[in-house]
Amino acid sequence: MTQAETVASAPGGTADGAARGGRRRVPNPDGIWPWLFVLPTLLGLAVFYFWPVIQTAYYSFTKWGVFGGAEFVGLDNWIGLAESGQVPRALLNTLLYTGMLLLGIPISIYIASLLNRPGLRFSAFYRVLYFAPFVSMPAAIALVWGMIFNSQYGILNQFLGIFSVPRIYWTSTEWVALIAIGIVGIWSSLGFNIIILGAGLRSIPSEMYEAARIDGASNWRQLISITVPLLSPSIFFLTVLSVIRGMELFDLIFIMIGDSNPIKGDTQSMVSLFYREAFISNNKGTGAAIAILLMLIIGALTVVQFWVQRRRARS
Amino acid sequence: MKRRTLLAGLTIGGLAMAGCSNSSSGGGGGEAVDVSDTEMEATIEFAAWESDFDWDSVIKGFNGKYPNITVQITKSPFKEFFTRLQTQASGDNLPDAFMMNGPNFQLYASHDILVPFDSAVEAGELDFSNYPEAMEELYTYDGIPYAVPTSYDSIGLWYNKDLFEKAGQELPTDEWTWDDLHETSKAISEALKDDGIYGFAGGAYNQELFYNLIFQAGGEVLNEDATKAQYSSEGSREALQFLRDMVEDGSSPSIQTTADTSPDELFKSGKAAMVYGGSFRVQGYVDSAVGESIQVVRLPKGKQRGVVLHGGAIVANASSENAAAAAAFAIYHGSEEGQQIIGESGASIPAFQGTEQAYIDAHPEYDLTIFPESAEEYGFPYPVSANTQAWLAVESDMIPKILAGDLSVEDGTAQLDEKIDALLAEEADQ
Amino acid sequence: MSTTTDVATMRRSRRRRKRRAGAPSTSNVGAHIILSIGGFIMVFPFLWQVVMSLSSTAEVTSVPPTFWPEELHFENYVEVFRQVPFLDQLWVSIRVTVATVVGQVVLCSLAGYAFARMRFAASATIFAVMLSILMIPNQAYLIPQYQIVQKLGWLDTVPGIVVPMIFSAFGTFLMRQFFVNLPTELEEAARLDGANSFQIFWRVMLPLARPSISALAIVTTLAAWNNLLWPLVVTSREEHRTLSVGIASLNGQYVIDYPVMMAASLMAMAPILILFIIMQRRVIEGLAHTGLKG
Repeated sequence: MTQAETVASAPGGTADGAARGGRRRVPNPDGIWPWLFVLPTLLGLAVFYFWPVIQTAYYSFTKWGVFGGAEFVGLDNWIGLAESGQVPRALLNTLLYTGMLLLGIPISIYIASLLNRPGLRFSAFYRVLYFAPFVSMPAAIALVWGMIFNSQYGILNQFLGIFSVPRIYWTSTEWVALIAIGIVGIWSSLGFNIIILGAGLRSIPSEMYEAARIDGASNWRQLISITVPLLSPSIFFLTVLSVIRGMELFDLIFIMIGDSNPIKGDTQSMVSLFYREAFISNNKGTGAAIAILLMLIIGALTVVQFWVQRRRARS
Repeated sequence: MKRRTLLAGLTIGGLAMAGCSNSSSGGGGGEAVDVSDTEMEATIEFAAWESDFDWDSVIKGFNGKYPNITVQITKSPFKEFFTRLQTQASGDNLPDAFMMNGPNFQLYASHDILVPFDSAVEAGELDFSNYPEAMEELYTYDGIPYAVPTSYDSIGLWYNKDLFEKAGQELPTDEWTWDDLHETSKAISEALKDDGIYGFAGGAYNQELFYNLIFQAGGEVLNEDATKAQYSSEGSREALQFLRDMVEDGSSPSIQTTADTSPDELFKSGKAAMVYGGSFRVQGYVDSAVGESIQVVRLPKGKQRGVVLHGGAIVANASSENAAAAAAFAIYHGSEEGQQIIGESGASIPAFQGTEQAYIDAHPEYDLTIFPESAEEYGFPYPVSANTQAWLAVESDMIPKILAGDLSVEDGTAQLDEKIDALLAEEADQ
Repeated sequence: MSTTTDVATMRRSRRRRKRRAGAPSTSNVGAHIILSIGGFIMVFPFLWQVVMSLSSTAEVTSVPPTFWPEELHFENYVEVFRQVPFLDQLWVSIRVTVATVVGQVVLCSLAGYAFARMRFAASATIFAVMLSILMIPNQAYLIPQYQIVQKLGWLDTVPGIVVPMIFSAFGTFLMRQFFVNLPTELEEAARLDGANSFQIFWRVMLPLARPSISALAIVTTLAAWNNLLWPLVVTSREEHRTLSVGIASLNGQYVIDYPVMMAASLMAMAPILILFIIMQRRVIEGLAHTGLKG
């Protein structure tokens, strides 16, 4: 029962929510311990991440080619980015993909609730089926899905052709390509989502469902009024994770959108734009600017999510 | 023809300058290396991308001449190869020897990264007259050669005899013109429409497709000193329009189709009767479903004949302590002996003139002689500049749109020129 | 711990009772149908991979696609061993993955606990900054981290691959979330017993954290196993490379040997999948009881 209370009262918690919020804190004889606990992480982070971020921030104000010689150019890169018009589109594409990943969460909830039905046989077998995509190598996955989506010989078009759906150019039509990529993204993340949600579902006492059934609630109603609210911490966790993964979109574009593709320029993500600037056009300064921009955006999105979660938990 | 004289002039000039040597101006001179010591000991790292060459045999042959040099080969996927190199470069940790291609060459050469081979030429270890002119031009910077050619590629017109028979059309010959190509493609597309088969595979590749047409129409990609783009020159526009027309009237598939099913895939699966294919496609075609029904002829001529010549080379890292050993390896692989081994794999045409026979003999069922012949007779060097990759990215953004009709040829090429000119101007600043 | 075991037993027996009582198996038919269709969609690409791995190159790119090859080309699997030092790289992948998982679990639990339960100067700010730094995609860190690893002399080694990967925004966030949600009474009780902070962590908190650690371990295992770009850049010698790098290197510039590649990637995926099948029940039961409640 402590746990149910904990669930209800503990919001995701922002960084400083832990300090405020409605929680009693242990009066503090912690002394030097906290520092010892975080020291290894902070040290490693300082060396491998923090210093590079400073470097990257610096380089975003320089013109930096492949072979050294970073020349300070002030805001040129940033202005160039603003003017090139590529960033807004790349950002939009990335957000759309992230949105699709988030769409995967309701699907996962549904599947997880089916899997969790009492007395369902073969549930372990299903679980393995759903988890398998999560396990495989992104490069191979992108290749196989590329073949599935192929406009000429892909299975998907052949299947749709049975219903007289005209041939769709999945990876070479603007916007449709993003949907195709999103489908692959959802497909590969379903498994993990289902595991997490499944675990969350198991800790919902079945008495609640029984009570609801006695009151005449339908399966759907039970889902909406009992399952989803009680799952909200898991759901919150999965949304934060999905946003992080979504903003990192790169591999799928790199492999599925080739050079002869007319929509290539329009179907970049923030990271593929970074890669293109930094490693292909040899504009590492501009690339650095994109990286910093991306960091700020992801940070902002995360803060927003925490804030929303806190408000919901409070109400 | 003016172009060829110019090429010849450059070549002679380059050789002359190489002979004078030590004219290392600001961008480009590593120290000269001496490869005469065949007993030298070293362990060198050679970075390559998977290319079907039998590097192990090359290394074995190399050890025949330089028994105390151990060559360790590191293979990376082509897609990530240059990213990896750049990362290593940032730590001053480039491999001792590595494969190089045209679009990336000048970037490395202009920053003093590579070992110059002029002293080797002087010492008689290396002679560029053994390689096609265009190769030498590709890998010379500021008059000094910085690479040893490995192999080169030429382009030919591959066709599927069975499909021609089925459509009742006459087979292509070496005498074909653009019009022949267009008419026959259209006829085949119409005849075999129900099977979803096209006459000509089309696509949007540059080296394998439109660069050739541009040169054949008398156009250019970049101007002589690579300071301005020439996509809107008359010849270039003509070439792009020709391809666009073929897409439009169904002779070749839509650009959307070739985006996810490449022209060579269409050809290999018997869905296209003809394709412009590089000499490097042979291996893939042999193993495919159509391997036994295909043949190759020279590219059809436009206003003139022309074919794009591009090839790979090996370069050596000037700041490596094993630069001499690396240079020795590069030189060996470019020697007649090394090139013979390279040719035998049948993957690409070895650069050493005279060793092409190994490539040709690897698949006698195809007329592979047309490749080295056309390269020699009318090969144009692949267009490069100091930072080729940057504008190649823009080119590959826009050309598919132009060929698909999303942009008109006029507007599209004008925009393309504008963007690329800007990038080329930046290069001058760097 | 006894509470949770009792709950488990209770639940299991309740389920058994339900089944025996003629539980609503009819209403589950619908569920089975949907789950099967969904399951088929999930698994289809792998089935396709298996078919491709047993086909010839021509059959793989044929139009229309070949659903079953004429002969089963098992030699593709043998070819993998010829083209890739599979066992060496498998071993490297295992070491890299185990080290990364252990590293992440240790660091993230320690840090997560500290941020959740301990008070120290500017902890909130540090946490926020830390998370945002770690949320920058790895490609942006490629060059700086390469230079650092090089200076440390770790190029072409397992530490070189592993060390930058043991810091994780997700991991710290996850562990912190878990610890934040534990009741404070446990800590207070331990303190009254005279335990210091580390003992509280080690003896009380950490054992309770098993479910979150399981989740973290799963995610990290997969990320480390499949990681491509960083190991590719850091390593040179074939025997020092991970499996994912070795398989990617099968791609030629113009010719992709699809059947061999598919065979290779199936073989690379197999260990993890098997691991999951074995651990599945433990993982899920573990995750379920104190529940990954965010």
